[in-house]
Amino acid sequence: MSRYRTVMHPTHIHRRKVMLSAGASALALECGPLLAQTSGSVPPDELLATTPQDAALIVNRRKAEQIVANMLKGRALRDGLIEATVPDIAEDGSAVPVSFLVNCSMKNDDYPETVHVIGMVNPTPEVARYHFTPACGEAAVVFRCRMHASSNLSFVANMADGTVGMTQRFVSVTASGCI
Amino acid sequence: MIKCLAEHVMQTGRRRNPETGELIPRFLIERLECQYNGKVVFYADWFNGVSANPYLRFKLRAVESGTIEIIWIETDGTRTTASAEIEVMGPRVN
Repeated sequence: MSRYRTVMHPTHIHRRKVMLSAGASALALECGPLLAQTSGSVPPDELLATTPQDAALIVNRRKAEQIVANMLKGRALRDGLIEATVPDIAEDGSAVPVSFLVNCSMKNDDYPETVHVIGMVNPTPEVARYHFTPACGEAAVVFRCRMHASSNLSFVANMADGTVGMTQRFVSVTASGCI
Repeated sequence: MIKCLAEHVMQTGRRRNPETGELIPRFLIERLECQYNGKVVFYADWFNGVSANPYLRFKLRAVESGTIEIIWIETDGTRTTASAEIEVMGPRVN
């Protein structure tokens, strides 16, 4: 039977092609008003998430972004204030080695009162807060943090003179830290 | 340079007991304080995102001989301390 199917009359093929194109135009007509409705605004991130886990990450990231915005209070960022070292790929999200150094003289008002470390998709975004005094000599810390998924780590330094600096570093997390 | 390591599970309060399914209560080292001759010179607030058995390395300017004391404070207020003596030789710098 299959032998007969392979032999087709040219007009038959032609009619199929016509039908296909007619179908495509009908689809375009149906979607037309819908596309027009949404083209003006970007769809919310939640609609782009394919799994509930993705949606949860988006919610966490929004929360983290809000926390960072509250810390910065709209101030201008100081360039190159914080040097952060993170691994490109963390195989174990439950202990990611992280270090940072704040470039400042540590004299008078030129020292960081607090340095915040924020995991941008962690369920509890703020990871740690370090408080320095001029007696530290240098604002440098090495520690290990937990990371829920591949994301940015943000470092925000609040200087004693009221200025602020921020650095973000991306870490690919292979196995979640399950925090 | 000060290095310190604590042995602690750092329970976040989000994990469940695999047998009963109950949430394990939050129990962290919430603060680490460093005192240099009785004066707090550095402290850290830790939240859920700090790894279990937290390791920390930071720096201090050695200006005088004395004691450096590290205090770990847990969620229930328990204080654990460790201290080391430091001897500074030669004239004091600034």
